[in-house]
Amino acid sequence: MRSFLLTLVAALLLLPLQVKSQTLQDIFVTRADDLAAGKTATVKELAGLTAATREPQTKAILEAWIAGDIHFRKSDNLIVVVEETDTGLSLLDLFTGEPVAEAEPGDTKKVKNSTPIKAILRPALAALELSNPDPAARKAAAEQLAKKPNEAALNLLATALDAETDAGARTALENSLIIATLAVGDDQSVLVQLATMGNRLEPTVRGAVQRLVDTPTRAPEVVAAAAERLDAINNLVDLNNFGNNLLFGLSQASVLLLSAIGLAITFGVMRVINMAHGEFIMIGAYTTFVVQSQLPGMPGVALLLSIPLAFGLAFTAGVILERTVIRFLYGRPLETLLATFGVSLVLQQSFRLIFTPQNRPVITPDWLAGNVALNPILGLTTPRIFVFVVALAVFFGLLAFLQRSRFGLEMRAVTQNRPIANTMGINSGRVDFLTFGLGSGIAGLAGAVLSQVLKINPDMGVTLIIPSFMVIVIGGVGSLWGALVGAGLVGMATKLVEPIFPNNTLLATAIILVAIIGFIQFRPRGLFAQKGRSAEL
Amino acid sequence: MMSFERYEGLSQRYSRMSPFLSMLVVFALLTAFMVFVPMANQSYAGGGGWLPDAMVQLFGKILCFALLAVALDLVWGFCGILSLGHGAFFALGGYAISMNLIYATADEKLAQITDPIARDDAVKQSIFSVVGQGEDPWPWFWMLADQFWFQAAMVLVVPGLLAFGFGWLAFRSRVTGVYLSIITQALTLALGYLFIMNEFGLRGNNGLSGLQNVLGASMTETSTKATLFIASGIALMAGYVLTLFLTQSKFGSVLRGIRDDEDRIRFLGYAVEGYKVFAFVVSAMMAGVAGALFAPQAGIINPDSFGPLKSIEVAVWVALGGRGLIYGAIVGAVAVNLLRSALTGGWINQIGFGVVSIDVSGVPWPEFWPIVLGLLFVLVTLLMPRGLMGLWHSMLALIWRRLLRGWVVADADPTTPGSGTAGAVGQPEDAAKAQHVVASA
Repeated sequence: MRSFLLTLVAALLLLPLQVKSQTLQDIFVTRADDLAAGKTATVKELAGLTAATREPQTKAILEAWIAGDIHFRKSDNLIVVVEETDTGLSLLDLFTGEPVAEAEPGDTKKVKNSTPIKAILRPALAALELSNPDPAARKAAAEQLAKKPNEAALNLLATALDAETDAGARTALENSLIIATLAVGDDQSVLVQLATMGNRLEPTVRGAVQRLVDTPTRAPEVVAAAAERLDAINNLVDLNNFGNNLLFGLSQASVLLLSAIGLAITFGVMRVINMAHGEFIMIGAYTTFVVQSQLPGMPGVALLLSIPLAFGLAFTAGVILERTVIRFLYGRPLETLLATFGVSLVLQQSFRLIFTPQNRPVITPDWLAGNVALNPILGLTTPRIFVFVVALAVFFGLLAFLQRSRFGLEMRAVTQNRPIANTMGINSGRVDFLTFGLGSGIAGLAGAVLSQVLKINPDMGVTLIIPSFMVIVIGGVGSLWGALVGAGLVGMATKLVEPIFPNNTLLATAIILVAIIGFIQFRPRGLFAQKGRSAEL
Repeated sequence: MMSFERYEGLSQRYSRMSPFLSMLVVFALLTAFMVFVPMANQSYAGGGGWLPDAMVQLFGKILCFALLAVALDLVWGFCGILSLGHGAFFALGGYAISMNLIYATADEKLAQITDPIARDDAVKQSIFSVVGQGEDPWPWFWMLADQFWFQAAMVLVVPGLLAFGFGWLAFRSRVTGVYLSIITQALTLALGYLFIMNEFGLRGNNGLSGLQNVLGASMTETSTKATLFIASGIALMAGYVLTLFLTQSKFGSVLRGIRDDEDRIRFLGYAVEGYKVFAFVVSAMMAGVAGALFAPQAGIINPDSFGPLKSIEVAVWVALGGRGLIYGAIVGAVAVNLLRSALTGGWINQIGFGVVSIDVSGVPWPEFWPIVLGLLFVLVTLLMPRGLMGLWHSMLALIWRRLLRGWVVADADPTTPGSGTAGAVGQPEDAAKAQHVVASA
């Protein structure tokens, strides 16, 4: 019933000039020569006639025409649908889809589908699509109709809205109806619409209201009502933008937490400053890239595989670094800084030589693509939510590991008092390299996960290391909780300062860094400062 | 047993030259170099000597780096402050003088405009049109950019003020050690972000370039290049004298005390913060001067100078040469920069001697330079905690002990306690105690 009504309305309103309806046969067979001749006015007329047909093939023909797949054979002006094959072109019958002939690429020519002709075809297709059984298609059709609103579209939308049951498609229809009404409705209906529409956040709706305000050809009370509505919408948009900044702050905080938490162990617990930490993150990220390129077609499996693999690789790299360099420098933090910086230089340049300096693409698996949105403004992409979840999982997992496991106990013992721990039978050298390996391994894991939200290139470690250190310095050395709070503060602050300087994220970063330097004045040991004798060691 | 004291004194004299003697040696070498290079280039006779002009500029730049290294040695080697922000002070000095140089260069080119206001405006346009700000008014800090002496003063004032403000805040809240290093690096990074922005008023990423006019002399003249080279050498000597004066005075003793045990000096009643801030400010100013001499010789100064690597590399120069010796910093800076030029400048085309020689001109040496530098960081800290000069003195001491001592002092008793302490040989009096602490600084 719905489709019948729509068809009727479309037929009546889209083409008020049409006297007697034509069949597709009439258009594409009888007037094939006109189509082939390609005179814009004639083709436009024929496009209009096609748009008015309601035959089973109409939709397919409209789609093919828009896509430029409808051709005519130069020899006899036979209208066909072309399909590329290995040998050349296969010509399909317009109505049955059966192959009728083969052709060389030069034998056929596209039936004209320039922009003005598409402008006739598209709304017709959208009107047809409004009765598509698939809600997503109906939604897309509604959005399409709102792009060039006219009275016909307005009526179509109103009719479709009455019959619509799917929530998503309904919202789209409502929005499109509002846009169409505001654009072409009479003053009275516009006033009613403005009063009842509510504060919608969709940019297209806001744009329609904005246009009402900007082009005051309407009655003054309409413009005034529109201005009022626009104010209300803008306020809501601002509020949501603020909420969005908070969300992004949280997301940024989780990125920082993931990259800093390994440092919280190596720098915080062991007092070893590892400037190559960022490069361990880079190792993790490149692991994802390599695994994904080795397992084409399985990006999700590769991502999950690369997480433990990255941990293992970075763990190994960390243990090697500890055994060959760092253990000779315990108690000489500044020299450790220099030596590990040297290691980071070597790693960076090696990766630059192996993987080129370009960004390396990492595929986001299907189950991770998309975003979770509360409304058109407030939302977060799924990879960012993934990072957030992993960051918290790693944090609490690590916390539990250090508090509950035998190794965690030994580690804390060595941190607090090495000689006494040794006398208790703890092999502090072993604890050292395992701890360092753990911190590095977590950096690698972080890299594998962060590959979903960051650019992967040999410089990525450099951009992560200073913010990570800042997180530790703010949170307080030697405290995992400090890392959590520090990451939260830095992440939030960054995302709340950035909108103040919309074109200038660098300035925002500089301000944050200076603010951190100022912060150190008041809490030189961070928020969660260690107390007691071991704190000064 | 009385002879023992005398031998040890001699031994130490060989193991480490007296600071003043070493200064004389360095100055003699530097002076000879400063006479030799312009002569070899025939700089004051219009150029054309066998030494290329580019080498004169390269040596001049290396001397500036040496001054930068001496500046870092003052705070790191003598006071235990590992600043990773000296690249920023260096760059600030460079920017300060380059504002005048770029102004003067543009001013000279636009000399046909007689109206001073119109010319000033044209200069502004030629400087800022690169970043699309030609029509905007001058940024306020360009107010006196046409005054050379004002900008020259800024070379000292800007890094000095920044070091004072930052040092006062950091030292007062007792941020020390690695913390301080990280914070100075953050400061450098923040400054770098500011200087990259076009809106900051220093041409963003383009930097200040085409610095042709130095006090009316053109940088295309070989004589100007040689004069700047000599000026860099003189500045290095001045920095050396200043550092030596500061570190050999009572002030220097306190500085070394702070380096070795800050709390003890504080408990002895010294205002530690004041000493540290003073040393930091003097060091920053020296770095600024080095930058100011560097910029015209490089012809450009841009935000790259604020890169973390640039600052941290200076620490490696000092560590390679040997900390707390002043001349060690010079040796380190010269060695690393010559090595860099050798690798990135296409100097290495053949390896081998005589008949056996391998053509290595196809090897992409510049791409290996960061790896070489990185390995240098690691090897120096692991194997040469006292640097090249430390190795040199240990070697001298060894030679003295094994070969010369028995010969010079015939009645020496090889079983005297002093001769057995090989590790302590090469240590001056106060450093014997400090050795461990220096290493941990």
